[in-house]
Amino acid sequence: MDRDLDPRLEPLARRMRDRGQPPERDLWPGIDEAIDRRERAGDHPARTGWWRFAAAVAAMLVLVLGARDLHVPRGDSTPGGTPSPVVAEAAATWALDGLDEEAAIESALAELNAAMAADPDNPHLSRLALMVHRSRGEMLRRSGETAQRTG
Amino acid sequence: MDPQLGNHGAARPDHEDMDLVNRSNAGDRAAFESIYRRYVDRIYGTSLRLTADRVEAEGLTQDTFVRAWFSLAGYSGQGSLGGWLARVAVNLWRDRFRSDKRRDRLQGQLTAELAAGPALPVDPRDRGGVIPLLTALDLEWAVAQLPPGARTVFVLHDVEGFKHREIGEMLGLATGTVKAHLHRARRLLRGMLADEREETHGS
Repeated sequence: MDRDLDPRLEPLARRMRDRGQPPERDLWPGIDEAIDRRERAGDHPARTGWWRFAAAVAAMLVLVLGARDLHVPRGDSTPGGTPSPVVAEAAATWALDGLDEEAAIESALAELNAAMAADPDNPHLSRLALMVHRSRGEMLRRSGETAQRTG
Repeated sequence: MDPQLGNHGAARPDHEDMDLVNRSNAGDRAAFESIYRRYVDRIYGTSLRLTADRVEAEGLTQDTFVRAWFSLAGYSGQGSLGGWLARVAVNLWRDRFRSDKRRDRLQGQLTAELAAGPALPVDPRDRGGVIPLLTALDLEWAVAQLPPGARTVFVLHDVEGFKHREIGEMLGLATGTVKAHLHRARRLLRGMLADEREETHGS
């Protein structure tokens, strides 16, 4: 708020904004009906804001681990079947940074579990979760082999 | 400025809001109705100040909540949920405003208002006696008496917290012109306040 506004008006303007005004009739039935109408016409809420992030994390993980010869088909690493250039670049950076595989897998699984709780019918998430679990198994197997060799 | 924050401080979402948002994002329509109940007064108030028409304000409020249902995943939890909804309402109003004749009409009014100078459009005493311009309700009334251009700029800047530049882009005005209208709107409101004080202390 700049100083041109009378100091007496500033708190009033804020209260005016926050208090608002009640409409003369309940608008909810019209809103509910409009939402139903749009959904029947094929519109669906974009509930993907954060599960996309979770999916990207999982996809990056699969790409990184896939690049390390974990027998994960690269073409299956994203919902669309082909890794996006952004994901591939991020995956490469991640690999170069030497990310802790175990921490990355646990983090990806946590993200995916939360995403699946919010969107249980999403087939892409289920598929990614399966791939991350597979990667986790491979990582554990490889850790065991390494321990045997060094032990 | 983060439009979710406005000029009135960094409001933060409360836990109940975030719970309602998460449940709505999971498809819980009852949770979304609770969001509506919490914020309908704020959104209708914003809509009414922008449109100055009860029927249009109802339509804008309704469309705001319908749009919010389909795009609630875009609310990141940064800033208040009320601020985010108000931004949706203002964006919808701006889109309609851009596409119809009201923009031309308002721009004409803005030009005429600046040329007319600072005279009060309505004598506050015509309201029926002394106006105690000391509450938000009274300011609401006073703002409603402003000429359309001054009211729009005042509401967008001082109430909703948009920047001069953003308002200029919405209304198709230079930033300097927006500042001139804002200055005029504030002067008009101060005039009403001074009149009230004169009435109160002079009697």
